[in-house]
Amino acid sequence: MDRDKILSRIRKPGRYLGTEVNSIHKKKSEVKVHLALAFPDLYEVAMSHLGLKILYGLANELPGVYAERVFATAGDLENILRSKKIPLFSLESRTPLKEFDLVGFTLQYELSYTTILNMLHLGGIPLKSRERKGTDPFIMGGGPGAFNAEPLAPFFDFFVLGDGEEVLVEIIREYSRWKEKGGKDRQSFLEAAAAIPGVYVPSFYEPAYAGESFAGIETVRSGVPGIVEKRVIQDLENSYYPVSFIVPFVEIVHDRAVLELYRGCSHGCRFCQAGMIYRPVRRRSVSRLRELGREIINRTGYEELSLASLSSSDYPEIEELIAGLEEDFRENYVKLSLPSLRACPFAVEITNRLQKGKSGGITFAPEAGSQRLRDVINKKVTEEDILKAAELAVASGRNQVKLYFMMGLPTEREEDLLEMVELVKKISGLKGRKGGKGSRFKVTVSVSTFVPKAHSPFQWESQLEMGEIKRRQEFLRRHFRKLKKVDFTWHDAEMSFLEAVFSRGDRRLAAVLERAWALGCRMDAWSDSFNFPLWQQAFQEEGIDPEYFSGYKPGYGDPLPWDHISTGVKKEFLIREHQRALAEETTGDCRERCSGCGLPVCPTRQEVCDASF
Amino acid sequence: MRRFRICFSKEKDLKFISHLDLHRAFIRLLRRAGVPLVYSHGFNPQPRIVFASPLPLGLEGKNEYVDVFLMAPWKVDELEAAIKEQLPFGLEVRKVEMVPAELPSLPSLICAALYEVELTRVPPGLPAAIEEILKAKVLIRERKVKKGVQRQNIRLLIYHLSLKKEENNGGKLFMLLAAGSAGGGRPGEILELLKLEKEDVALKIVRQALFLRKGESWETPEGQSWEEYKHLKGI
Repeated sequence: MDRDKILSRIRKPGRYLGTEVNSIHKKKSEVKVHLALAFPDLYEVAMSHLGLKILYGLANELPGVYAERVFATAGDLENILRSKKIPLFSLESRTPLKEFDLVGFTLQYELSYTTILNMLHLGGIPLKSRERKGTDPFIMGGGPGAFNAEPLAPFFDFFVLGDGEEVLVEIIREYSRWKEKGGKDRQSFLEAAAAIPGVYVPSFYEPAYAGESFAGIETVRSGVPGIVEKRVIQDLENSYYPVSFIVPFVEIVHDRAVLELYRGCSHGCRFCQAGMIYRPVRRRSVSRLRELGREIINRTGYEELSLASLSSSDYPEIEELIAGLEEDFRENYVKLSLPSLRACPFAVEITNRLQKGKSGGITFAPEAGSQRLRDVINKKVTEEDILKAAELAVASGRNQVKLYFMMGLPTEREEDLLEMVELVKKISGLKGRKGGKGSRFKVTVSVSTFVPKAHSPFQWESQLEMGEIKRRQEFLRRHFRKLKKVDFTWHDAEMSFLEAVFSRGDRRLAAVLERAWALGCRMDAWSDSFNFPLWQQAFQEEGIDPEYFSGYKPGYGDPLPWDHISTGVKKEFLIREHQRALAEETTGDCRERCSGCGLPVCPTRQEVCDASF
Repeated sequence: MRRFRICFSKEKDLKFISHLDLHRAFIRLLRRAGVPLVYSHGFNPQPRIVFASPLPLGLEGKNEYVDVFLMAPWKVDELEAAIKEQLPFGLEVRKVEMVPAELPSLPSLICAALYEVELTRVPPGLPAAIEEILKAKVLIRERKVKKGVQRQNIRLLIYHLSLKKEENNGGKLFMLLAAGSAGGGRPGEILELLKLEKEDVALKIVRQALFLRKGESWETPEGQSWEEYKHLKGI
């Protein structure tokens, strides 16, 4: 069935063209290493992901290497592919996935895992690492999920921990060498990969269990590290950054150019895995960012440039940067945006400067409603800060305030939830801009459910039992209903439950994952595809109790399924932070004073040390 | 301020993007080309670029028009050269010319569009079906509007409908339909009226030309009359 015919029969065919501006097309005959960068979700989501853009640009600059994109297809195209027996293919050259040398998946969220299996299957690749032979590609996984990838272990040949910019190049080089020597013995490539710092080959490790509990993991191959350390790009300033972003034709979730200001975060919120796995904090200079910004806008023609990081208003020279960019784009009408704002007046002032119209919405994430609970999670914003920030925002004309909270946090009590409602009530009572329509603004409250994450101080905590999640959601619904002009949305309890099961899961869950996929689960993050009864069936058929995984509370001395993966942050630090949480004590920003997380190398600590002399 | 009229074609992969997607792609292409566009004022400045008529998703357009307004005195060949460097795959520039800035807006002038539909085979009843449509004075169709559904007489939107048979058993349908702000004819509706099955149509619906009103007849933006055009294309 020809391509045009297929594209004419599906929704939003513009997602599958592969010929967007700045997409890379190379002659396959001149390619030595053919790499597929796979994002396990639809185009609209995949093309909003910065990591993919960085690796695409980086890999394609290497001589003889061709990196192409492969994303999940929507149901209508999947049905056509299956019925016409067409394998899943890359966007640029339409090469079937099984013909690639290396396929790299990014592991961004647990509910994308069945989609990964689906893509492997559609691509004609055996699901299990041990079943792959001959010319089957090597399947690798990176991103946050790689830090606890045990539930995916049988399906991946190896995982890559930490920053990808250097290690990907090393992997490609090693692959090239292996291929030149004949490329027949897959084990020898895996052994070579395992010797690269930051690469974790799960088949070289064997987990053990004592009854229901995880009892440890051991190497079963000599010469393989007991603990795999993540890779860190220390010199972010001079590291690769793409400037020729692909410009999609169709609308995507975040349709704008992105400048990565810095990597890592110094706030140390205790529920946050990203805050731990992306340490240390390292940043790019204002001049480098301006240089990149100019190049990116020239080559893409984008109208909007997002200043991205985990907490952008905390970039030390943010005002200087914005002034510089505004100067650079004076003639050019480039809109600057600042996502990830702290809920404090300074951040609002900055963002007010950017959006001269100051209409539209603003988003804050207080996460907890009471100061007590905010102290427990180490979210260091006071109610005064939040209210002042919200007031500034609506007084300058914003028509919407979006608030993110979490429920089910450790030590949470009913009073904390009531204080959340009270805080929202105070915000919705603020005076908008004087006169006419400007004084009314909408308040949207989004409450997700706490999921304990591996490598965070709360990894020893459990998620609320599902009945309790639903009870507290109903409690909040009842209270928010009484507030006028407040929209309350909450995250599906069953989805949050599954996230908690997998986020601290171990290798025993792999069988459940495969079963769930075989029963028909995929695109689980989309509520119209998510099918909880099928998941329940999968757990039952595999004889695994999911509530064990979401509900277990290990002791500090108990082995964890991710102990053999290191973020550089010491367990002692996480224990200390957990204990401080229970004592309701905050820990300061590590840019001001080192909190001793134990990282071997940290430019921020160095700066702080240097500054105090 | 200078106003330029760009005649372009939207083909191949680009037939799969919507008019809004095209609009966005054009803005970005002009920005990459360093074209000094005129921007509107207010909260959300928009570049002043005006398309003659939106092209529905799925159709190729061979001679489409867009007016762009520049705030610096560029020349035609400068603009053309700059744009040609930045064209996405599927977009080609046919012609660029400068037009007086005070002319009425392009969309207000367009009133007809010629569609060409490739047929893989010509069903025996087709010529008769065409006759019937042309004889009819009233053909009611329900169309979705903002507040529900409206019944419209689409016969008024059909200015010309003819079939040209080809040697390979196939054929070409030519339809000159109303276009513009008053409401346009849709090739898909005509195909439905003709009861053409999907397999008959070679999936190629191409908008070949746009027309402005000229007295009782029409002419292309470049001044070619409908009669001349028909003669040249063998319609």
